[in-house]
Amino acid sequence: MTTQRPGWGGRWARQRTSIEIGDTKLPLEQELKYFQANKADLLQHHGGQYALIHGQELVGTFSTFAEAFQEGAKRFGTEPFLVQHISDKPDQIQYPALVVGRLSAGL
Amino acid sequence: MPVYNSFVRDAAGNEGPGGLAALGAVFAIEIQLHPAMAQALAQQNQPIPAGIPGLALIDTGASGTCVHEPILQQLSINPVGVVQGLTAAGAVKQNLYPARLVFPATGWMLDVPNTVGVNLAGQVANIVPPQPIVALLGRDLLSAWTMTWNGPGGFWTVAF
Repeated sequence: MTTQRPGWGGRWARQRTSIEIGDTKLPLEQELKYFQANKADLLQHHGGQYALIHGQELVGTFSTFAEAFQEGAKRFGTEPFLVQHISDKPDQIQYPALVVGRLSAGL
Repeated sequence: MPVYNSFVRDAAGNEGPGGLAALGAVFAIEIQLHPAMAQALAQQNQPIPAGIPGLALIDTGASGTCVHEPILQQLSINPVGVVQGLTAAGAVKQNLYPARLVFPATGWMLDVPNTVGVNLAGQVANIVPPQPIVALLGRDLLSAWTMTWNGPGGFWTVAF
């Protein structure tokens, strides 16, 4: 479903729409669709690297997230672009203290 | 190698193990635009938003560094990636944002291209006055740091 993200008011809100997947709205709709459509080919030729995607275009692949980001920032500035790890499984993040609500610090 | 020591006092103002155990390794931080994005804005003659202050908690349980997502949105930062967050409710997609983390007490500045946008609403450090926790410093940052936790002494030290 394509929606306008309410309440942002920044540059992105003026430029792009978003899709909602699960609990999170994803502003990189075009780029994520491109990645999914071309994932098999990317895995075959660039598995383990990081893809830099702008719109429906693969700009290049890089060894690290940071390298891909720097190139994206240099080429596209504040325009949306996606850095995506080319992997079978999605990259995961763990933050157990936040998940179980034991984060707040107090004396 | 720059070193930062933090001696934590308890509610009665005493140094020792109690304060550190209650509060954790918390220190002041400011979330700013990543310099690559700030440069892009400057080239467009657009104003660069001021950084947003808060507290960061060193969280050795977090695999990556997390920032309260509304702050990143307030700075008009576009996400540049997506990651799968593992929560009690299952796996959810979460956005990755570039940001600069500034530590005013030390002058340290860390440019992180892939902070994770999370919801830290309601997470506060109950110091006087209470302050919001706006970032979790995870093991990705700690991989470049040396950290000492001195429980009996009630202090912690980081160096990088």
